[in-house]
Amino acid sequence: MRQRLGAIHVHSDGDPFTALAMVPPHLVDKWAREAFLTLPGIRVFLIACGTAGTKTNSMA
Amino acid sequence: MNEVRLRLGRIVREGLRTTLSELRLRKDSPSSRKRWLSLCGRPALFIVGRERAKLGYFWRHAYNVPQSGPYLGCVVNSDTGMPVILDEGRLTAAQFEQFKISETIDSRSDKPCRPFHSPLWQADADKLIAYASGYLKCHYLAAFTAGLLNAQPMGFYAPSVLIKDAQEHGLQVKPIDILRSEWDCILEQQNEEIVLWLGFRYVRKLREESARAIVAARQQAGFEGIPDFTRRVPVLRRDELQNLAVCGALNPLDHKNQLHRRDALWQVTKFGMPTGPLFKDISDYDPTSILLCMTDMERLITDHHISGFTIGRHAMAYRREDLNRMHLSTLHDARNSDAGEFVKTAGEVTVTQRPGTAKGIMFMTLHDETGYCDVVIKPAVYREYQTLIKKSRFLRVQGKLQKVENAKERGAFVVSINATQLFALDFPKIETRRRHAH
Repeated sequence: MRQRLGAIHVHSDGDPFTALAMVPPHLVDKWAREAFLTLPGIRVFLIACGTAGTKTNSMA
Repeated sequence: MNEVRLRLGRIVREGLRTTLSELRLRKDSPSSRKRWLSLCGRPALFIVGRERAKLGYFWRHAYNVPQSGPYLGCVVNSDTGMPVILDEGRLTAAQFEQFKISETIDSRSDKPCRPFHSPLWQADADKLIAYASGYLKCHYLAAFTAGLLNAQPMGFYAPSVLIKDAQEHGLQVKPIDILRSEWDCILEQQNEEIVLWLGFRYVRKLREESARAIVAARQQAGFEGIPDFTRRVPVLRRDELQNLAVCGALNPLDHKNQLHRRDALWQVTKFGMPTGPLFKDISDYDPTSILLCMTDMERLITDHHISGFTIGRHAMAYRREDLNRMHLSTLHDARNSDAGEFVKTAGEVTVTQRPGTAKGIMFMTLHDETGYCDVVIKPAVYREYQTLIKKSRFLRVQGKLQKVENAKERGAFVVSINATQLFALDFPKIETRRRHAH
């Protein structure tokens, strides 16, 4: 996990980057915690279902 | 989509909270890069659970149903804003509900909605998973049950519940057999019927390497008897041999079908021990068995001890006469009583759950030879019978039957007993294994 996060950091070469991690569902929080502990200045977003705001009933 | 932060070593949801649609709009705009940098400005990691990603929850919705306007009640394409047209006219929301599930499961080309097939339709996770599981269980019961049994420990129900349920739906389950079983449960075609053979994984303390050694030795040549078996599979430990004998797996080794569990146990105890040169020339077969067969109740207790379940009659069936004398109805009769009626029944506790969101209420599932019934235990009753509930594997329950209409399905009722009194059912020491879900 940390190797992959470290690889992302090295690859970005100090520039701001955006990465998407597709992880086992029970490890989502663990990945977030490891990201904070591994990558300096990282912002972490968890993608979850049920985000409100659409005016229509979603069918997809 | 929620931003999270690390506080005192724990992940807390705080910070930016937005939808993916908004982010997508930002991306589509001419100055998307600048807007994104103003929003974030530093490295960002988006994390999504794999299962959720597969279901496409973060993708754009492929089709929408407007709540107002000229296309009210129709399915519209979210890109064009135009309704989806079928041969007979516009695709309505009601039709869409049917098509998206049927196409997911059955993708034959003669379906009327085939041109509009989209994997994004499959994102309706709850319905799809329930439907797919139901479909597999209905059409491929043997494979579905074998898959669940081989994937244990998992899921909500214990293997005993899965097996009994499969048997009630017509699946023939065969016992563990030294001549046929493998480590996993397997399927076999017998007279145009598929039967399930239980695997060695359900023999207590038996290691996987031992099971594979048995299969390998069996493939070289058939076993001639227990002495031959113990000699050719030396990797088996004494307790493994004993457990195989006690659960009846070694019975088929006798070609005359006269071997019973106690005989087999006697023989593995005898031949499982290393013999010195003094006894090596003594003939193997010892026909003078004076041991009695196990009784039904002994077999039941042994099955539960070794495998955690039995494929024979349910434990409650052996006590039905006593229960009738105590005026305890079967779970089937209890379920079919009128709403509000006071019922007395008993069964084996298969599942208990006390979720944190239920305000202290415990839900329990009882099982007997006629079926299942749910029991609701309110906090006051739970406090009174807490020890009994935790320790007893068989319970006597009294309370009012309640039937509540299912909110999602009209005409279907959720039936449960609102327990007011619980008693332990006097039963031999059967080691049933129940699941507790929090």
